Amino acid sequence: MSIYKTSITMETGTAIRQLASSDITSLADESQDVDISSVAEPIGDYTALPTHKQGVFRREATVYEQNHDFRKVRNLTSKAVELASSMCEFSAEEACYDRAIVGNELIATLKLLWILRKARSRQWQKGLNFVQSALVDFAFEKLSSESCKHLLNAIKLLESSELENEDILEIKRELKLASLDPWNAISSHE
Amino acid sequence: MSKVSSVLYLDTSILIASFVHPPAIKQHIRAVLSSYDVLVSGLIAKQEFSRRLLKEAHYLLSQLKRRNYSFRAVYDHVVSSLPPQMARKQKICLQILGQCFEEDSDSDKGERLLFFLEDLLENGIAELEDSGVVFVKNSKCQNGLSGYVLKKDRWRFAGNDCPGNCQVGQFLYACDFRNTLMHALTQHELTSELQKSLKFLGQLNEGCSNAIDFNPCLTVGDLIIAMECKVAGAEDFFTQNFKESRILCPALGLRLITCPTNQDKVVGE
Repeated sequence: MSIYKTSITMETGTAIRQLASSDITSLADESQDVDISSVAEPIGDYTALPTHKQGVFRREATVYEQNHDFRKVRNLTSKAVELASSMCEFSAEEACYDRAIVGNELIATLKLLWILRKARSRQWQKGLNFVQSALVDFAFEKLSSESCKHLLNAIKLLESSELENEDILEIKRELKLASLDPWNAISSHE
Repeated sequence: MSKVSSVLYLDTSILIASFVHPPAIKQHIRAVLSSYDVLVSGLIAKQEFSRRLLKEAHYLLSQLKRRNYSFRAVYDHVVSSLPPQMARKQKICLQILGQCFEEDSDSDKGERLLFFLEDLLENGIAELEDSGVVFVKNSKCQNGLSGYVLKKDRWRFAGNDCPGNCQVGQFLYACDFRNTLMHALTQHELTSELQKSLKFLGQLNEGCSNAIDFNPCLTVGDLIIAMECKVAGAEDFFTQNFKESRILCPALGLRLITCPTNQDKVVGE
């Protein structure tokens, strides 16, 4: 029996959920009812593994799971951009308290993005790492209106799923213009 | 700090500190830099930046790969395995390893470190140049010009030896203030590096053809940096390591600006 990499459709949903639950043998039985071969390309044959390893076959994330994470990352990135935008508004009104609250929410959002980072390219992960690094132990209430704009620009660059090396340099440049230090986390904090 | 409308030369220690020193020191550096119109540095400082910081970053990267991307394992290795002769290496490595993502797991810290190190190697010099520091090339130091390159997925750094085609000797020989400097050095009690510098200047008086044999960038780096600063037209010299500079700067008519190190307080401005 072949293991199939599928693209998600309504018809193949059941089969993929079973694949996601690692119950590979029951999938073999059900595959007579749900033919996924027309929408899937084979990526390997689990029966080629030694018998004792077939049951504990460690699978890659399914396409369904990957798509799910992509969506989550996209939504979280949009949320981070919204939070940074609202910080710009707060700073204009000099609402320090509100800015600090939104800043903490931004940090929490970036943490969630870090957890889901594998859904994006390596360069994107580097960019996220620099933004997080710059905001470690940062007092958002001190952020000026101008700095907020540059921070927003840096976070906006993360909206693109594919980042080039030049984008990473641009993220660092924007963070520095916001009086933030992208290398903050690597510096010895004594 | 008020604008002084002048040129500031950044020593290697400042270039390194702008990446890996604690926030308070970086803030002090930013405050000093913001009061100058032009920031310059040179090829010798550039090659020292790559030889000290980037080479250690490369070392940590290889250790990280060898230790299965475990941050803790790399940290323990640096703390316990490096011999006392490698104190400077250990110090710079520990500065790089001073991460503050305390809630992260060991593997996450390892991955973050990997990203930082890779970017430092790929973009460290570009970032320095992007930050508004002009690198003067008067000294024509070959190690500074060639820097380091990625060949077949491996970073290759300039060696400790000065290459044969390096023209640092000619640059120093052409400096007309050499004898004044020599005279000033004889008036002080000298560190071992300054003693070597004095000996080297004496050799230069006999000609510059054999200057490279002395490996000047490695053995008398502070002397060449100070002379490079003078030739670049800077009035002020900004450094963290002032053991040699406190004698070299007054001798060359440069104003010494010091920055606190991790352990020290500001000594004088």
